[in-house]
Amino acid sequence: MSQGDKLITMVEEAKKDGQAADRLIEAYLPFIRAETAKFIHRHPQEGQDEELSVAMFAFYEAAMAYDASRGAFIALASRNIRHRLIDYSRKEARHRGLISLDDQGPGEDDQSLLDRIDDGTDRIGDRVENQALQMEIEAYRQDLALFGLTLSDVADRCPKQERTLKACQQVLAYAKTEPGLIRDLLQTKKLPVTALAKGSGVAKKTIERHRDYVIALLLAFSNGFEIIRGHLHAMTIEEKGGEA
Amino acid sequence: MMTYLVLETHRAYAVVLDSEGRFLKVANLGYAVGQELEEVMAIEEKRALPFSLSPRFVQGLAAAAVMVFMVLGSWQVLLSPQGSVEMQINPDIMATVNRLDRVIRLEGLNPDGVTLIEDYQARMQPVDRVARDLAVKALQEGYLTDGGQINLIIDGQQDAWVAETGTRLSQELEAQFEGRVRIVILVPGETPPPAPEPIVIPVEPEPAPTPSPAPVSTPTPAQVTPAPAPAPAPTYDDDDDDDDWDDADDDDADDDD
Repeated sequence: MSQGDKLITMVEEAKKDGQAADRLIEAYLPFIRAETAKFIHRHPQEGQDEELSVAMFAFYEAAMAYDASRGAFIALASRNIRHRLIDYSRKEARHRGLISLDDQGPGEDDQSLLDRIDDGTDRIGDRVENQALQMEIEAYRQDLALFGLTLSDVADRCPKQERTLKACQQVLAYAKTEPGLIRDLLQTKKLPVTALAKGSGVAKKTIERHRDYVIALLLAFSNGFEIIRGHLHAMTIEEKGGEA
Repeated sequence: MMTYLVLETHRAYAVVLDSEGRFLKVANLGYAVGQELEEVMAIEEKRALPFSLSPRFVQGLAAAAVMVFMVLGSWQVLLSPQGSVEMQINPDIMATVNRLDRVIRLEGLNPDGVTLIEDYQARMQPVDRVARDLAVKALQEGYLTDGGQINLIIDGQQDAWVAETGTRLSQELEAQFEGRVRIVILVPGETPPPAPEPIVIPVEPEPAPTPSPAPVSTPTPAQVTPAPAPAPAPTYDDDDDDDDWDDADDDDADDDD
């Protein structure tokens, strides 16, 4: 298999699997570094130069959009990296002149400016809450895995159109009025599409097409994910009763 | 205000949940799971044509739209600027470009720039061709040399156009000069990077030879080294080398989500 064919194979695998995508990025990190260096006129340092992270993301984005019938992948990746870095530098230009609270303040110790500011927050309490959140997210991820889903899958299949998003949230609103439906979902690992369509008034086709997202939403509103639910403060869910 | 909760991190991207319930893939700028963000760089997706619209139908629709567009006074659109491309070679020139990426105005920004564009017909020419022609002209007239640098400053209201034009022109010029000239894209207002300094390797002088009794020798005629023949002037192939990658079309059609 030629180098070009091997690359195309890696790109196609990366489209389907997050770990394959990670391996692709690792394999092409020297190329990504070189493209970044061309733009920032120095060698980028991982963990220090956000431009390198932006370039890695642009490379991944190119892999997701790649169509082998339309040309070489490296050319596409190079263009996309440049496009994203130019975008990023324009956005960053707005923040020029500001200092980051994560920067080290004056003095010889390692404290950041944020560490020095006493803003009255309970840092220990925040740390405990953050640990609880991480555990909750891990539990959520594992529950999704029971349905054969990953968070990357859900993100890929999340509705992009506003009206479709609202329709799925309408399904959620109905499901909240019928706790038995969510219980059935958790026990059978099957989405009760017919019952949800009938009760919510959303077309069966729409629910089927976005089943992974609907499952993710219903799971988030099952027991044990209070912090994740609390994050969804801007979601307007109009409670809807079931139709006869 | 929209906020984003980081759910999962990968090498190049993270999965976040926004406060309206969307799961998104975004650039992973050193995030940790559980982190809450106010701003993210989300993935740009290409929208596919819906199955109910055939490509031929869409082409017909596009052709009809073009006709309507022209009937409604397309001249105004052809003459209204979309952005500008400044080439700093020293000479410096600026091309104002319309929505079809054609030059509607070309001006020299310094006396050498005015000289460079004299007698050059740029009006309604594709900006790619104008940039290439003027860069080649600068080289031929001695303003630009091997190892020199061209700074490109693209400005316009649409960030996507600016980014795409910069990428395209830089690749066009890199392909034209095959690495002999450095192409740098600058953000408007940015200071250009210094040109790389030549590397000088000092050579130690040879030690003076110890004197020996001078032998009697017949003088030899001085050898004249002929001057090296001047290098032939480079010729540049003016053929357009098509980029392997077609610029993606902007698919405006909605999917049937």
